[in-house]
Amino acid sequence: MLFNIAIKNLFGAKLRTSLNVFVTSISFFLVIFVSGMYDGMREYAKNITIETEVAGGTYWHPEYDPMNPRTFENSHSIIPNQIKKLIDQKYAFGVLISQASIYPNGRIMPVVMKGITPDQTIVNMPTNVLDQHNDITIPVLIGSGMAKNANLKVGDSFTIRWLDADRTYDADEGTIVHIMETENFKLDLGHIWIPLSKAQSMLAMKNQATYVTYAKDLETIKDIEDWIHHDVDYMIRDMEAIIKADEPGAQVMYSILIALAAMGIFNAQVLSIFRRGKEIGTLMALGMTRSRVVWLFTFEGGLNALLAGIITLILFGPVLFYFGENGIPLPMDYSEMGMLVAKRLIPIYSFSLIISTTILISIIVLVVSYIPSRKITKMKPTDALRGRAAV
Amino acid sequence: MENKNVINIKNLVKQFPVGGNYFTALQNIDLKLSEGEFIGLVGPSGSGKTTLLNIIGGLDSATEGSVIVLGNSMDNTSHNERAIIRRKHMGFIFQSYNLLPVYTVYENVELPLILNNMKSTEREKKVTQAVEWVGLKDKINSKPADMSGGECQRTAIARAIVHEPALLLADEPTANLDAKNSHNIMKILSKLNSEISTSFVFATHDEKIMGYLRRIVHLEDGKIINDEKTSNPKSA
Repeated sequence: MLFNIAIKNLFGAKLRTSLNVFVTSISFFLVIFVSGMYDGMREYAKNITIETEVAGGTYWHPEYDPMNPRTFENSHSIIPNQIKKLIDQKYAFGVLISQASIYPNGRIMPVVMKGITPDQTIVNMPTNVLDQHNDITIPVLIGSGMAKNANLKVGDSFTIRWLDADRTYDADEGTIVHIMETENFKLDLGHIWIPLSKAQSMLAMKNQATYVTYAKDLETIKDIEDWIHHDVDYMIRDMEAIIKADEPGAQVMYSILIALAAMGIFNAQVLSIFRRGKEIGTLMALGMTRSRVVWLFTFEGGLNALLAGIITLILFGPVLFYFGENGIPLPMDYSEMGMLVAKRLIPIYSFSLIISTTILISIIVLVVSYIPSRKITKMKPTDALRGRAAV
Repeated sequence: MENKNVINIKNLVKQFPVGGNYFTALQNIDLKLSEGEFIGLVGPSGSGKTTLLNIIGGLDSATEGSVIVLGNSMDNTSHNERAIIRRKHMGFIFQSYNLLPVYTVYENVELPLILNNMKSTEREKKVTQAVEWVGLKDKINSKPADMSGGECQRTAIARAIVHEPALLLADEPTANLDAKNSHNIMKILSKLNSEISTSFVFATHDEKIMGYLRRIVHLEDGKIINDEKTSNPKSA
């Protein structure tokens, strides 16, 4: 009985239902979209690190500490045989790191010089450009952030000075062969990339590397001498820690969004129920018990939430899908601030986000339907009949 | 036929709190109504007729005295029990119709039957019959917003009588209507009263409908000042 009446009420009051459903579905959309953006931002930072830097994992020289540049001088050795085999099979590539100075336009800049295998395809870096310039003494690949800071462009040459294995300072001319666009500032700011063989020769460290990065889905090699294996989880542990530390912030933001949505829904729903005080009085006069009236209005609220879910899917589903696929371009480059934020933010709508949002908003709709209708039914029917219901 | 008591009120007092005091809306009311009666509670605004009607209908409760309606003591019944009595045995007609605006005539009239859990085939038959009684067959799919005041009140009448209640309470049913519609409504109600055994109680101060009433209870300042049977009431 209540179902039939609720359906009639819902579809009979086209304007009222449309308004309530639209407000609720906008709330659904905004909460999912904004939370999805936030999740996407955090997930993107992790993914970009894996795609451009970590791949399947790395083998490090035991002395290597990326956070301490002073270790670079000693963190190199001949690559262990088993790892070398991987490199030969193109399943891995080596990187040799050294501190250096460059002198662009007469200025001095300390940089981290990294030799990398040009034909690697394991991480997303355009290293192949380093192999296309045999006429250049030292072909150099840099990121756009570095190019901007050093005021460098493709074709510009500058002096590079480094300390080789014999502890002798050497210098030669490097030329920018390519400026890469990367969202991973750790590959960009303060870095110059040169061919691995060239770095080995410059540093007098033939066949040596500081670390080796291997492709995804490879089994870990056990016989790696004194080198140390670090898997993806280890490599992104800082990122995970940041994300974990950010969880309360994310929850606060989610709560604020839900609260804003709740206020919108509360406003629309409560207003609509209190405007129906006379209708509630009439139903009571016709013999509907108080509990049934409350049930009816709560049930209508539930149907309202269900309709809102469907409308969100129909109306905003394509919008969510579009942004989920194409992302949203950001107006500024956050890498300059040392933040791993994509130039194009791609929201991620996780199953748990959609389910928790749906449940929460449905509960809100039910509560804001239940409370005012209960309040009205507690009134004297004679007052309700006169439409004297007040918030 | 007019011997079974439908309403039996003794020493009814109704007070409303106003500020720190009480306003006495009804005092020492004694009233009996037999089955099939067609009576009017008549008096000026503030005389207590609507309050009395609401107490009879169980929408309000007495401060003192005893109110027995259709064999049920309204003083000792819960809200839910009173709702069930209204649902099964009473019909209401309001001054401002109180139709549900999103429902059609059919749906508005059908509502009491849905509340009484009647089967849909039976509902359809009864709704059609009630709508025919009030002459709204051609408006059956219209909504209140598309109808005149007279048509809305006829819909309200159909809704009030569709479940053939033992008692029909009408609060100023013609107050919002012009003379022609008022007479039409009273003719319909008078005809229904003669065809079914329902007892009718009107709260009114509309002179136009006095002629249709078979008994007039005059109220003034919350007291019954006169209770008379009319000699030659108009009929349908």
